[in-house]
Amino acid sequence: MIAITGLKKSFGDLVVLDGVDLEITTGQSVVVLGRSGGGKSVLLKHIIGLMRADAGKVEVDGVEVGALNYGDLAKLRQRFGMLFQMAALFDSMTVGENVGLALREHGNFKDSEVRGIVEQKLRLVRLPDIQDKRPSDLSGGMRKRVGLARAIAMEPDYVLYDEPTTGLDPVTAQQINVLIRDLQEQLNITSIVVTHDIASAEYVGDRMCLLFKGKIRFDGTPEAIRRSDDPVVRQFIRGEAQGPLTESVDPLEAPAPPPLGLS
Amino acid sequence: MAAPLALTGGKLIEIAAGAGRFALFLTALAREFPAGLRYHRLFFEQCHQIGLASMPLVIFTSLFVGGVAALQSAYQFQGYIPLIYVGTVISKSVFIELGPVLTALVVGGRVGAALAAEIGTMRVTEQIDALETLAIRPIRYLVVPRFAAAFFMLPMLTVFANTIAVLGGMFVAVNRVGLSSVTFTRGMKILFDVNDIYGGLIKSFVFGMIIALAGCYFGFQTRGGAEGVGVSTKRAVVASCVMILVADYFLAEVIFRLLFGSA
Repeated sequence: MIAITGLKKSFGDLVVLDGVDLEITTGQSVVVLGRSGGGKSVLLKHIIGLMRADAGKVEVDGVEVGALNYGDLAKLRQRFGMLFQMAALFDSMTVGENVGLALREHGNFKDSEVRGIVEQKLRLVRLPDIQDKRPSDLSGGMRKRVGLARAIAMEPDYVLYDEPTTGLDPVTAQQINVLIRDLQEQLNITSIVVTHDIASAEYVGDRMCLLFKGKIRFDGTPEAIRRSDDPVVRQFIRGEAQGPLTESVDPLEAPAPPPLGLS
Repeated sequence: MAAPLALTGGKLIEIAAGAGRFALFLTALAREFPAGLRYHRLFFEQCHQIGLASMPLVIFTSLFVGGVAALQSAYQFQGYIPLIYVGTVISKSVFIELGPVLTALVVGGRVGAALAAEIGTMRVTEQIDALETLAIRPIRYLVVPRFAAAFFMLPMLTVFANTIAVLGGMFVAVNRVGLSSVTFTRGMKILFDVNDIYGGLIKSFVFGMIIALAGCYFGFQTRGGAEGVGVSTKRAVVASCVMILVADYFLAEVIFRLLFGSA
C-alpha cells in the first residue's frame, strides 16, 4: 500500500503540491488527473523518491520513502517500475540492453537468460524480435512500449505511468491503454497513472483522483467522476475552456461539494 | 544603494551554492569510485571515445605545434644563439608545457563538450531519472567510467602528442631552418632531463580529471531543454580550459620547484 500524507512541494514561490493526501491499496489502478503543470509528475517522483518533499510523507508498505538512505531507497525502487512521458530510453543502448539493464544490474542471470527474459517482456508489450534495434529506429508508440517492457522487467509490485498516452495518435494511445490494463490484470500490479487524457483514464483506472491547486480535489470511481457536481471536476471532464479551472479567482474559496468517494 | 547590494549578495549566494553543489558532486564521486570501476565495458568504451577517437585531432595539432615552435625559436635565436639549441628548446618546451597543456586544451574542448552534452541530454530527457528508478546510481554508472577513462587516456595522448610534436619540430628544423637531423637530436640531448617527461605526464593525469569533472558536473547540472544543454556544454568547455591553465601554474610550482627542484 502507498500512503501519501500532507505532501507539500514548492519550487521557489510556485506551490505545486499543497498537502496531498492519498491512499492507494495493493492491486488498485489509480489515475491521477490534472491540468498540465499541475504537479502530477511531481507527485509520482515523490512516490519513487526522485524528489524530496518540503513537508508531509510518502509511505510504501509502511516504509517512509523520504527517510530512507540511498542504499535502502535503491532496494525499494527495485519493487517499482516507471514509464516516463517520453519513454526515457537510453539512446546509447539497444532495445534489448534497455529492457535488460536492471536484470543485469540486480539479477543473477546469464546473458542468455537475460535475453530470454527481455524477449518475454517485449512479447508482453507486443514487440517481439526488436532487441537489436536502437531506440532511434522506433516510433513514439513503440518507444513507450519498450519503456513499459523495461518498467516491468524486474516484475515490480508497483508501476508508475507518467502521461503514458501523451503525443500518441488515438489508435496507438488505445493500444497502450489496453497494455496497461492487461499487464495490471496479468501481473497483479498496483498501477498509478498520471494523465490528462480522460479517455485513457476511464479505460485504465479503477479509481480517479483530480489534482487541483496542489490538493486532491476529487477521489472516486470513474462513474462517480462523470456524475460529479463539482464545477472544477465538470470543467476538467468536459474539457471546457471557461470555468473555475481557468478562472483567476481561487475556486477553492468556493465551497466544494461533498466528495463522492469510492462506493 | 540597496539594489546593487542585493545583486552582489545574490551573486555571492549563487557562487556559494555552486561551490556546495560541486563539493557534493565530488563527495558522491569519491564514494562511488571503487564500485563504479566494475563497469569495465563502459570504461573501455569511454577510453575509445576519449582516447582513440581524439588521436587524429591530437596528432594533427601536435604536428603544427612542434613545427611552429621550431620556426619561432630559430627566428628568435638567429644571430644570438647557436641553432643547435632549437632541439633543446623544442624538447624542453614540448615535454614540460606544450605537449601536456595543448593536448589537454584540445581534448578538453572535444571531450568536455561531448560529456556535458551527452549527460545534459540524458538529464533533460529524464534518462538519468530512469537510471535512478532502475535502482542504478547515475554517478557510479555514468561518471566513474568517464572519469577513470579521462584520467588514464590523457597521459597516453600526451605521450603521442610529445612524440609527434618533436617529430614535427624536427621536420621543420631540417626542411625550413636548415639544421641536420643529427644536430637537432644532439640539441635535444643538451639539458635533457627525464623528469621533464615525468612532470608533464603527472600534469596530464590532473588535466584528465579536470576535463572529466567539468564535463560530467555541468552535464548533471543541466536544466531545461536544448538551450540548457547548450549552456552546460559552453560552461564545461570554458571551465575545463580555465581550470587547466590555472592548475598548470600550481602544478608547475609543485612538480618542478618542490618535487624535482629544477625551476
